[in-house]
Amino acid sequence: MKCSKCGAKAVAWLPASNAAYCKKHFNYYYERKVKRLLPKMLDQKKDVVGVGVSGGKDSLVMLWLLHKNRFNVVPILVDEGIKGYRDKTIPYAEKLCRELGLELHKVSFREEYGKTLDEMVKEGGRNACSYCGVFRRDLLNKTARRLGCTKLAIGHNLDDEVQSVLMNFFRGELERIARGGPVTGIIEDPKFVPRVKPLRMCSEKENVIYALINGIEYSDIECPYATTAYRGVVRDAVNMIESRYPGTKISILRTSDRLVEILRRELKPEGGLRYCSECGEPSAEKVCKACQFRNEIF
Amino acid sequence: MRVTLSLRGEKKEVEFSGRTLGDLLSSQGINPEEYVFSRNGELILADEPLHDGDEIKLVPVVSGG
Repeated sequence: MKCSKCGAKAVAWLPASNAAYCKKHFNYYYERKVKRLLPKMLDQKKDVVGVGVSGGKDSLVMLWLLHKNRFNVVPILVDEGIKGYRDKTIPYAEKLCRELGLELHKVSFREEYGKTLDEMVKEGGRNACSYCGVFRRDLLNKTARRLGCTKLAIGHNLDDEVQSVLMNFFRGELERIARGGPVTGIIEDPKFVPRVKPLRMCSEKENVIYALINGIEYSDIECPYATTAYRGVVRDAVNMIESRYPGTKISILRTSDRLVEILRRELKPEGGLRYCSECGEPSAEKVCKACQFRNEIF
Repeated sequence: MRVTLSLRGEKKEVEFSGRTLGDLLSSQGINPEEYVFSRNGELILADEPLHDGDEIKLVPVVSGG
């Protein structure tokens, strides 16, 4: 197959765009897509961008691109304590940060909450993804704030975004859909570092191709808890539809972004964001989810 | 044709009748959407002709959490 732009040997075939690209033109296509989004999320001159990194492809490609585009980045790694998984991905994050001359700020569930995720799962009654989602969000926000970050970039890709939208839709969780979009959160609050998703228009496959073409080494192992997640069922269903009707994922995300605007106007809470009565962190409820979970486990 | 498939460090030799990567994937029931494929460090697409003795690396699209 030949590159649709220059006729050179193609390395990527993108059915949704009905185009094939060589290395050079894939990079051009991919970077242009991300660069178009960045000004809507980040101010290159003013923002200090906390970057959540894990050692996986999405977060490392994101860090690499933000650094390449001269953003002031602060890489943050949350070690949840998943034996045989996180300990194997961390070296990749450390390596890229070394290569880029960046200090990697590492924090962990054990240091912050007293237990690893493995211990929480063993002792608590909930599934791993529930604990991980809540505690990761809490710890990333606290750490980004402590380090003076004005935005927090997370490596959610197109597939993650579409899966989240549909999962929230299937569960009837309108408030969660309203918190989505390119910049998360319904209202502004000094304790909440707004989260941005620079790779939200890039598919998981495009991120793999970009990483391989540009020599960004990453861990390709899967989280051992991922197989139990509802997300996997939604992922398979969406992939099946996308393979028959290319462009479905992008269409779902665009529709969702329009919905987010409408929902935010409807659901905006009066009187600002609430604070957890126990830890003082921003919360949608009287006691935040992290404290609710902590009270259950400890 | 005999080729070697390599996935996350594990290798397997397979024999198939056909000419291209697409033929190989069909014969092995591998979904092309789930992987990116490379040979000698170069990315290849489904229409790529293969040769006896080639080693094809499968890079999983899904990884992480």
